Amino acid sequence: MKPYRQTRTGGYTLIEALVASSILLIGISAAASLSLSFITQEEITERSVKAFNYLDNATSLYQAGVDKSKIAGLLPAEPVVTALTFMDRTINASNLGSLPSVLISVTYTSTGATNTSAASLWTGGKKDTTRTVSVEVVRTARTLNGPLPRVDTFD
Amino acid sequence: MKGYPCYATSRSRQRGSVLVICMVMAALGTIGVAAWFSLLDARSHQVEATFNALERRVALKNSRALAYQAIYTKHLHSNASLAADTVYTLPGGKGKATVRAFSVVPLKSNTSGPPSRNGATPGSSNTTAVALDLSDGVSETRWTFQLRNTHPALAGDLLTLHSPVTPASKAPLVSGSLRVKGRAVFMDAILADVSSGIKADEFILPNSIVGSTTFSTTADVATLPLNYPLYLRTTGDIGGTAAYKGELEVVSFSANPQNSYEARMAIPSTATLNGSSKQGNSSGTKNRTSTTDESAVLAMIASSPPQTVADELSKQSNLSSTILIAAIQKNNPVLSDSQLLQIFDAQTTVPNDALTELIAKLDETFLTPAIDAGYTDFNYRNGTQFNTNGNGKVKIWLDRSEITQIVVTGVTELTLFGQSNASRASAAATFPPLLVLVDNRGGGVLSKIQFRHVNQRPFVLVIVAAPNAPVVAKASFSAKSAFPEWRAIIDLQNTGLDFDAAQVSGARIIGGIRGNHRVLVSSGTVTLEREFKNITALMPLLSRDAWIEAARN
Repeated sequence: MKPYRQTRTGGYTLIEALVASSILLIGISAAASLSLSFITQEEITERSVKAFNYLDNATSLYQAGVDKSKIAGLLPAEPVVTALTFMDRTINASNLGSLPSVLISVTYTSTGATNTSAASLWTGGKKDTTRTVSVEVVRTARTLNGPLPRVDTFD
Repeated sequence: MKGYPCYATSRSRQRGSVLVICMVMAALGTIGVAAWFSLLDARSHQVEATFNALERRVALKNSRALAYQAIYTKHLHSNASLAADTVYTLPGGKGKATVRAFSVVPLKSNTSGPPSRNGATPGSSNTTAVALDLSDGVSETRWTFQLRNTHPALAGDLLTLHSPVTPASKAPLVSGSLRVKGRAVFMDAILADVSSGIKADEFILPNSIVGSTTFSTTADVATLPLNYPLYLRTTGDIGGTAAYKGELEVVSFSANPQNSYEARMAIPSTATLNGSSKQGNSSGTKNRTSTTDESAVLAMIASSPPQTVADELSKQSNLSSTILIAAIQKNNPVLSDSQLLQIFDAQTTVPNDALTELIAKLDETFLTPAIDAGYTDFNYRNGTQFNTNGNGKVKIWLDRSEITQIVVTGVTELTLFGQSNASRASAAATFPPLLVLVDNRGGGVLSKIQFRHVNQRPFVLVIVAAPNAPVVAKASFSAKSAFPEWRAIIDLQNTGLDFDAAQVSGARIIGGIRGNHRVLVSSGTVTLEREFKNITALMPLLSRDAWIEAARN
């Protein structure tokens, strides 16, 4: 009676080991995949924050009265940002009528991939993937500024 | 036998332990992964919230811009208060400003405001405090916009030159030895303006100028213009629209009933003079008629030598207007200045009509010092206030407290008499301010202004010409003092001044100059210094600039 039980304590069968290994591999693969997704998400998040900060600064400069053509030059370079655009529009304000406004947009690359495949793709996403965020801004000139006729004439 | 069960039991426990360990590790891994996932999720939400926060910040700034736009467009320059709360809204929650009702017209406010928080306009100012609620798309924040006003000279801008009335002229707006012991403000400068001799302790220019020059303080120290912008400011309306580009309109009632000198002159005590008709006023009667036959006296005046006439008439102390005027008009030969003064000095009082003739005849420019001194005392005794000779020459005596506001039109020459000695100057310093408006928009070309003696009376001089006929008048000083001090705030609309301080070592103007035409110093030195003594008394008389200062509550 007892000897049979003694033989079962000698080790695991190959089948058991294979099943266990398979389960472990699946787990490791899932963890790796999850890690990839998480890292990708984190990368997108980080880049988005940078782009939002860039947009925030651009908007602040514009609303402070800086000429929109000079804003990109005033801001420190931000590698994730591929474009900063200002689109002139009008917006209707109640009791005031139509006011000039500007749609300020920042386009940024949401992935750090440098190639479409291979090792550099490990953080996920296509390398050309971009996102654009925009805000519509109204500003009022609060300082005396030119050009005035005399300046036009002599300067 | 005994050991087998023990061994079997141990083995079984070992296998169970492995399973437990695996399960524990799996659980820990799950917890770790879940924590990581949760962390990343939180991070994603944070980023999303970052953008929401950005949108709210933009909305708040949009609301503030909306508030500025509303006040600039509708309130700051206008002659109206706000009866009911008004809401200005941008679509899509992009901005909303609620301007609460206010009862005081901004440019009329005489309520002294709190100190400036931005330093761009130091010094005293009045304010209309307007409450606003600015939305960030979710909640609202209470702000207070101070709609401030003051005359720039009282705020330290001792020389303020608005956009010039002759923008096509290449001549500099300022030149010569002009010293500004305060800030010089140019609302539209070119290189020639700031490189023609002016020295100021501070400069502020709204526009960049082409070319290089050196800015100097009054202590001859090189300085740079202030590097902050000139706040948008207005004197009200011009041509039916708000003036926010440096235009100057401070005289016309129809354009700016809330801020014009014409509005301030619209009170019964304002005296009016026309340079083209003879008029004068003093403490004497309008005229004095004789109750007796004066033909013999008139015959004597006509036939006798001047000195005889002077000697005979000076024996009388109550001569009629007819006799006094006859003496002035005697022309074969004429009486000298001293002979005329001999007669008039003997009179107890001098009737206005005779005094007007006398003043018209005597030109201070050509009087000897002794006669000038006597003439000055004579006018002081007679309470002479103002006089025109009918040829555009207008004379005003500042040491008469009876006069507080005068409008003169059709002026070609203006002579302002200050105080000839220290005691009179001290007395004049306690007088109420005097506001003089020289209005030549209807005709008359002002060619000369004389500042005689010194002046300690609070004094506002406003000169206006038609915008299509701007003039530059010569302005000279004459006084016993080498550095006569004239307490005066001078507003020049479409009129320039060309100072000649050659007769003195240097003239000092305690107050300031605001204008939209040229301010030159062709001879000597003119120094502008700040008025500290009479701000409260002067403020109600002065046309102001208005601007906004905003602060979150």
